[in-house]
Amino acid sequence: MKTLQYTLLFVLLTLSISCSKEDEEFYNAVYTTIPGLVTIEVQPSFEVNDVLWLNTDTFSRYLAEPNQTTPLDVYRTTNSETFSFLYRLEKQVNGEWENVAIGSNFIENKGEMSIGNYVTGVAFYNDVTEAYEYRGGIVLTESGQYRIAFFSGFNGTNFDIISESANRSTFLTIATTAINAPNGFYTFTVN
Amino acid sequence: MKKYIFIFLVFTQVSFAQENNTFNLGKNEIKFDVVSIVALGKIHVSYERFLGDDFSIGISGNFNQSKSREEDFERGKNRTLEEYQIIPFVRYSLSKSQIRYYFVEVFVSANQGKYRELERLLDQNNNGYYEAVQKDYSDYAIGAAVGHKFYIKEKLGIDIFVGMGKNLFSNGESPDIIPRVGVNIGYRF
Repeated sequence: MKTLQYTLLFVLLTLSISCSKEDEEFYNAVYTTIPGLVTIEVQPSFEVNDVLWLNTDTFSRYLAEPNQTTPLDVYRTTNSETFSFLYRLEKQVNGEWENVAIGSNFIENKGEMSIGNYVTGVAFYNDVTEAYEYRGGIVLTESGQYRIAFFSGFNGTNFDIISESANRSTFLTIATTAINAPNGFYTFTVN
Repeated sequence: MKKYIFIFLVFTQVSFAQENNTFNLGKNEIKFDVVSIVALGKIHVSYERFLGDDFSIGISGNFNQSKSREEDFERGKNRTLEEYQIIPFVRYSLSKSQIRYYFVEVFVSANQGKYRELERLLDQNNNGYYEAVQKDYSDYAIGAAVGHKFYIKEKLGIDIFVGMGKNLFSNGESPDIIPRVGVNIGYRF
């Protein structure tokens, strides 16, 4: 019985030391919604070996923030040199949308592309233009029906573009939309 | 191995034999928390005054000395940094033995420290930006704890206790919960 009591006390002691850190939650983060930070460069038709480009030409350092009368200085808030977002290329096969492996069929024009099961687009801050710049292309190697899709963001509808903040800087997550992608998809045909 | 079993048996026999006797223990005890300094980087000292066989009152002082906690706060990893707590307490013994017993404790805590709060500020060009601004907090908590206490040679007291309190005036500045945890080694006189 005494062993049980000691064990219980020891467990409670350990738990309490752990609980004493309950207040150390991640507090230094801002979530906001600013649509249209990514643009899909559409064209009337695509042929095999054409390139589909995505860019962040509208991603200025200063952004209009909802419910605020003054612009948000994204760079000063985050001290982040990069912002990143995720998307993927899907192809319609037998009526189902399937993920397309990009492999080496991509072109980095501005910023950086990281290819895995999806594309991570990384926009780099340019202190001359005071904007986060990205332009990445996917080479369309086969004909068919395709779409660009994004992952749901923190607000459940848009997708997130996220700062890479260091040290004490505030982490900023922006739920955004892509211009030319109504309902989160851009659907197109490669001939 | 036999030697350890023998020592254990002798020790427990002495301990149980002592529990059956009446002792004339001192009324005062000063103590130092070894767990707080090792695990949490806090200096935690206490004084306890025994009012009878069952009740005691006391006061604890809890002072943060942890460089790593300060560094975590400065780096923005932790939102709050407790600087000190003053904790008056009342304890009630749940056992008949004077040298080995369980107790319950009610305490209040006056605590003070630093915290960071995210604010939207404006620069000279009227552009907004977010920054975690450092401020001070002070609050009062009320709470309870349970523990076990025993004496070695009627002078050296060891108590192990665990509990928590709730800050009464926290509006997100001070921590909601105040832990009350420790292993005190004390001298009774």
